[in-house]
Amino acid sequence: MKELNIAMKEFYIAVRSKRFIGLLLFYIILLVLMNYAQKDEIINLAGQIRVTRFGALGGEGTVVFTAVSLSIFSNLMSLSVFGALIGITLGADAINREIEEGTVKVLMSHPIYRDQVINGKFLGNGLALLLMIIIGYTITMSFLLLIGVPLDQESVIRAFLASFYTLIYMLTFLSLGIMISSIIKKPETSMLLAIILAIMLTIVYPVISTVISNKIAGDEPYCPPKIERIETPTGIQEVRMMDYECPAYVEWKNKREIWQKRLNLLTPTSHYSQLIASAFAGDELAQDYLPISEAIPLAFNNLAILLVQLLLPFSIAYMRFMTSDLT
Amino acid sequence: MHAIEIENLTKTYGNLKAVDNLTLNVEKGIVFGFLGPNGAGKTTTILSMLGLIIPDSGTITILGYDVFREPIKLKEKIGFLPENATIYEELTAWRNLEFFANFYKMSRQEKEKRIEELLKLVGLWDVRYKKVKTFSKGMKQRLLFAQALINDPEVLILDEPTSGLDPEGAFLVKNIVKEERKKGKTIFFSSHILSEVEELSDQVGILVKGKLRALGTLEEIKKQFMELEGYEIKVETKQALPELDFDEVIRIEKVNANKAIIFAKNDIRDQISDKLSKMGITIVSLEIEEPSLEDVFLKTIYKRE
Repeated sequence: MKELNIAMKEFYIAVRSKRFIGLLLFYIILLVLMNYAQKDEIINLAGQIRVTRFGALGGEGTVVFTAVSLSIFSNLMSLSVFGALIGITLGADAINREIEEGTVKVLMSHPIYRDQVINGKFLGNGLALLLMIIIGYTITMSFLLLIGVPLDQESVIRAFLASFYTLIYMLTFLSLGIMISSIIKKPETSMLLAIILAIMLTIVYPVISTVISNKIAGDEPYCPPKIERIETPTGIQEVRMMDYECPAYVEWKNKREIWQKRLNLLTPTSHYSQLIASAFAGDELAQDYLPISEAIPLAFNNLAILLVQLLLPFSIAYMRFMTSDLT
Repeated sequence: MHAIEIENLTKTYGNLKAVDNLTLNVEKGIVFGFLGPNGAGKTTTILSMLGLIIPDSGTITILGYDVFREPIKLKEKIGFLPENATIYEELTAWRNLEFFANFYKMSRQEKEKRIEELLKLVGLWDVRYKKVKTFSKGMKQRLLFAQALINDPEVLILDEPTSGLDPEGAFLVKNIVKEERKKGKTIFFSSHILSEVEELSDQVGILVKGKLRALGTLEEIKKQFMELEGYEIKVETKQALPELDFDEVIRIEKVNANKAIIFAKNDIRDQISDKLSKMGITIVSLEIEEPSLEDVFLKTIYKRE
């Protein structure tokens, strides 16, 4: 299979590159430090289940924290920014560097189709991303075993599911990188642009979307404070409290949330965050994990949108590579 | 049957016609030298022959396969050495050739045997496990040449094959070209080095501003050139040279009383010889000064525009 030959070459070159090794080392150090910082909390959670509300990076829901899931959860959430950067930088010079160095002329003089080249490149770099996820997963599990935390089967399975979502998320950014690489001629320019785009989508955009949704929703409406009577040792006291059930406030809050969700549809990070939340979804009543058959459909739409966000840039890169002069 | 058939090939970049309605046929089993100044359209033509550049119009057929309709069948039978290209620098010489060999239907043993043969042929056997990034420019060029031969191609397309090579490397490459020709392979190569083209080519094509200005064997091209530019006839006699007033004579440059250079529209040596014999003048020498390929090349570029 010719794609596989290209993929193995891409994988071989990618994992031996200074860029990949540097990013991998940085990720490992980050992972160890994060796990170490959470060590006490993880140990305290050993053998216990904590069902809690989660909301970050555009994702929200009720999630279950066990010692394993807490550790994996924070590992994967760090990849929402770091994984995006790794994915996009692996793809950002995948095509234009070959054109600039002329290796594409050598490659394309052999009996292969152009689509086999781009598919092979995607597959090879995707394998490098998978390797990174496996290394992160292994380090996290090893850390847990080292500090004597037993691995519960349910959390390990959920962690696998979340890792699969992480791979799709990182592939989305790889695909974006390959698209940029097919449009911009200079590898250095495309790399810079790719890094800026990754930072924009993962860090800047969520902030901007919050600001925009707040603007659209307008100023927080005035609600007369709720007066609650609290019994104290000195007698009953009246306390004026914000009325969160005031219809005007509820309407304003809903409008703001709807707009934030709409705006977040554009960024892969919010879908990824929602997918991770769904992988570890919990049931507040049962104080346990939601059955996996119910957890997966929770973020089915997010998975579908993320897949579209993966395929769309790849299709653009594909069209460009198939129809342009390779000089 | 022709090995390479290019018909009405045109490629435009903006307002610039890089290749202008080029029609060119190359016979099987010959070495074809493709000459032209920088920017003449040689590389554009070569890259179109590999489907790397999509032309505006025209067809290219190599060994009976249409470049754009049957690229895989075609590429199984050709080898290509690009100009100013490199090979995967992070891979070793062996791994590079193995990577390219994997695109062909060859058994593991066949691949290994072929790679060994080629690395020995280009003198890189001792450095086969070294990464290409540690190689000199010449070594990289030799490895590129080896990859072009990996499938034992029927047609070899070489874009400036000796560019960047030291004299020893250039000698090696030229010897390989000669050997491949002996095996009946067709070799299409572009070069700036006229001596190299003269040494290797059975046929030559000169491309100027995307148009083919001359085509044929070296002798044919020189003849065509002389027909257009005039013949340069050197004559030396024992006695003093008389007036040679033929209609075909353009001008005469007298070197001394017995020697002259006659510029004529045609080869008028027979007429000169007859006239001088009738006048009882002994001819010491009477010969045509053949233009060098350099003369032809330079005048084709600068004069015939």
